[in-house]
Amino acid sequence: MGEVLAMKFRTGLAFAAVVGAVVGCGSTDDRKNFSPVRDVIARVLQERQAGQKPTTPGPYLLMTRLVNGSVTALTPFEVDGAVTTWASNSGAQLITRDGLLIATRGFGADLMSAGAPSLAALIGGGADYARSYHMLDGNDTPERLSFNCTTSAGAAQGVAGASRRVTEACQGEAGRITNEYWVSPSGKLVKSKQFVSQMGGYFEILALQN
Amino acid sequence: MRYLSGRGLQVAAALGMAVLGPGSPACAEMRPTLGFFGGTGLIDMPSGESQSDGVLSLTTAHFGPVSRNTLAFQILPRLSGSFRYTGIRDFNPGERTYYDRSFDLRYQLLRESRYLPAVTIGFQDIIGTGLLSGEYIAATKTFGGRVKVTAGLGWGRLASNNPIGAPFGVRPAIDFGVGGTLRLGQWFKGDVAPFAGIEWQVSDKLGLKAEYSSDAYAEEAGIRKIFERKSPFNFGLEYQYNRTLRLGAYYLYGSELGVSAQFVLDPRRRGSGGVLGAGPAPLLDRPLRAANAKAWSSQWVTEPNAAPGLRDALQTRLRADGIVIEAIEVTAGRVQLRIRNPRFDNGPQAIGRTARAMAAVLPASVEVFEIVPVVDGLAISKVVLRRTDLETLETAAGQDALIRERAQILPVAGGLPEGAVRGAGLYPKFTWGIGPYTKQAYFDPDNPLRIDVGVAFTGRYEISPGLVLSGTVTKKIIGNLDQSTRVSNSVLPHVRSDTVEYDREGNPAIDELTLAWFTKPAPNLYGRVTTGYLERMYGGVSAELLWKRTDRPYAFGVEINYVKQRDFNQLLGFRDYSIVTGHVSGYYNFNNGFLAQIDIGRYLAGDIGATLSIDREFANGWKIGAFATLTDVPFATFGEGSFDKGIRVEIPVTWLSGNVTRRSYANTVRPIQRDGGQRLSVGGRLYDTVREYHATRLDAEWGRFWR
Repeated sequence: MGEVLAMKFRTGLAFAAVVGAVVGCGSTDDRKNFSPVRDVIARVLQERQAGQKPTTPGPYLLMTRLVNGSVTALTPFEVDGAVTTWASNSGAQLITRDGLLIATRGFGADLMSAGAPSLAALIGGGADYARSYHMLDGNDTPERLSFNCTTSAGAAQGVAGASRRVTEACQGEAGRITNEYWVSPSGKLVKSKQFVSQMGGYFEILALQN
Repeated sequence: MRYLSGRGLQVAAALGMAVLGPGSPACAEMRPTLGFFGGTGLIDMPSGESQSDGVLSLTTAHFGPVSRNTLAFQILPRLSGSFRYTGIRDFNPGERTYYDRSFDLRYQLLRESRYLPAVTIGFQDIIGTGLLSGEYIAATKTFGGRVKVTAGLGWGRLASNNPIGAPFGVRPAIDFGVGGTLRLGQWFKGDVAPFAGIEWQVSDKLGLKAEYSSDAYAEEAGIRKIFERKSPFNFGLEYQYNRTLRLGAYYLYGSELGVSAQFVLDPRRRGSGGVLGAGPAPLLDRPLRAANAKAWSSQWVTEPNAAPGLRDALQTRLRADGIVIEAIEVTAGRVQLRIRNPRFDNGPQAIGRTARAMAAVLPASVEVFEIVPVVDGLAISKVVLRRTDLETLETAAGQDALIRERAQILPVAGGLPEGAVRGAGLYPKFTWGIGPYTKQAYFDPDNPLRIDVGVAFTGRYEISPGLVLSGTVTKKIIGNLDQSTRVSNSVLPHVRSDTVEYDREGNPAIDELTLAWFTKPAPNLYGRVTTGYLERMYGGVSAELLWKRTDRPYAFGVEINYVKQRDFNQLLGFRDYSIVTGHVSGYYNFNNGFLAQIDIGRYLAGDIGATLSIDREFANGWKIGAFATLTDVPFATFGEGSFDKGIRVEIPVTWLSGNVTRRSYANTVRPIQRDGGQRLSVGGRLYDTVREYHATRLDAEWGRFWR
């Protein structure tokens, strides 16, 4: 191939669009607004540490992604019966039913939906039951993980406000997961470590009541 | 890295985000690695393995005088193809570097099982000059999850060292003419020679390779003596930096040091997992009818300002998601909302967000939501949802499939329903933007990559629904595109090959300035008429008609254009050349993500023929494809390459960053740009616009409905 011609493409504008995402400007306003949650949570934590009565009514969640240690604070965004949608400063969400995680949004490797037991059934123990986790893979295609689970109860180890710990061990084709729940004497979740997705790992959730 | 190809640099730059993004740990399993030829393999020899389905890889490998840059794609679970740009220094005395392009295909005959190895048959350099051409069968077996042993037989180039016989007869000599055609007659003919190798993944990060090569480098080392080949043994050490990037250092042929970088991108894996960004507003339930009969009254519909009032309340809710209301039609039990989606790369996500806003705002008596996506004034389809289903399924396990079973995707008329109210302040409307741009030129032997960087100004004036005046002006700031001295030697009318002149003289350039009219004369029929400066080389009139049903995977279209070639300076003037060009097109969307398109008609140089394009499209917007055009221009008249062909890659920015946007990084690479088989490049072609909101595509993307 001796003689060769240079060639050009019309990709310039596409590439410009990519870069423009960072440095371009235009007439279209594309901003979003969210209520700042973090300040409120920080104050509540400070007050708790100082042993004071919180000045802002709760509840709040303090969530740690165990895969990378990042911490997110969340406040109730919408309550619909037992289902609460918790939102963070940036608009990421946890959706819980009686404290049990049934969905997440905005964390990337999200839990889209879940077939989960009720908190009462979980605490009550007893027979094995089925659990399902529904997520999207990197190609936005639905994936489902199914498990058979069994629970066992034990003493709460130094978690303030909790009287016992319930361990939920689940076995499925994808492997084994273990969720842990620290329950108060009145039967509410104080703290938990719950599975989200294969890539998202576990979330540790601390419920901050007043 | 002086010889890294343009494609390489550019893709590498785009991938920078993926590579350096959130750290995804290297996984423990022993992945199939890539060799110097860019296919799955050892160092200079191939292996029997293949990459995971859909994986796109870029390998840049260098040793002694040889540099190879290869883009490879695992087209199907067993079939892969690659395009390579090779540079050999001092190949011809007096010539700085000899450049060569080549295509490979490989097919995995056997998957590895407990007792049997993975076996692959490969065809190297099938349509180029044949410098690298060779065939092989390679078998690879894994032992203990850490060690892989490969053995194979090579023909052609891969039989140039210690052949053991010629079982299928003499290999005929190469007569590549102007190149670009298959050499079936050579396959598996001539000498055959064995090769072998071993790969040991010492730890998750570190891998070692050793091989016995059957390539004698007869031309490079033997005849031209541009390096010394002292030994058939090669050794390498590779470091897995992260899931995307693997780096290697090698000692080859007893005399040369080598380096390589392998970029492996799996469209099915995203650095962020799924998309990031704010979650949706929770879906609000209606009060129980028994408990609050008043809320369920349909009296509201008789109020004079019901429709505009609801429209404004909905628009307030939808603003956070960038969704714009094009029109609203209200009845007591059903509301149709026509929307534009300028932000979400995923149609179902935009539709899901719209449904949530409707549930939050609309009176309880409204049970049926009709959501009509509108693009360029064209109503594309009607997604019908029952509000009760949304309320019931919001927290249900497997909710995406459940809502899809209950939703309908229906055809929609182009005109507004009677009594519909338009969105506020939409027409006329002017929007503008300023941003950087780059233009690249590849494969000029004097300089394989040239780049211009500058500023692009865009303006868009929407006069009425479907009538848009828009333009782009670019001004170069810095670059070397104008330094090319290549002059077209094409004997056809220079319909594309004068690119150098356009690059040199167009500064500033009006890239396009058009008035476009989009219309929908019937529920399955879409039309477009565009006039003005349609693209950088042509101006004129372009008209298109597309027939497509919402629920069918096929479509038909016809396009006719009268165009005149623009002046090289890309301002307002024209050159002498004008032509009527147009095509009849057939489209088919296979269920497995493959798209096929055939265009038959008259091309810019007046040649008559057909183009076949095949693309593989992923649900997340990744698209990788190839195309080829055969026309009545004889190969010898066409010139180098024989006919027009190329590959194209589109990577959505959402996949790279995790943040939702409709932008994507798209590139088309032709081994050579000539004048035969060239189509007009007019913006706003209908098929891609329309199919985005038709059933096949919405179904593929549906998982994000509740996102």
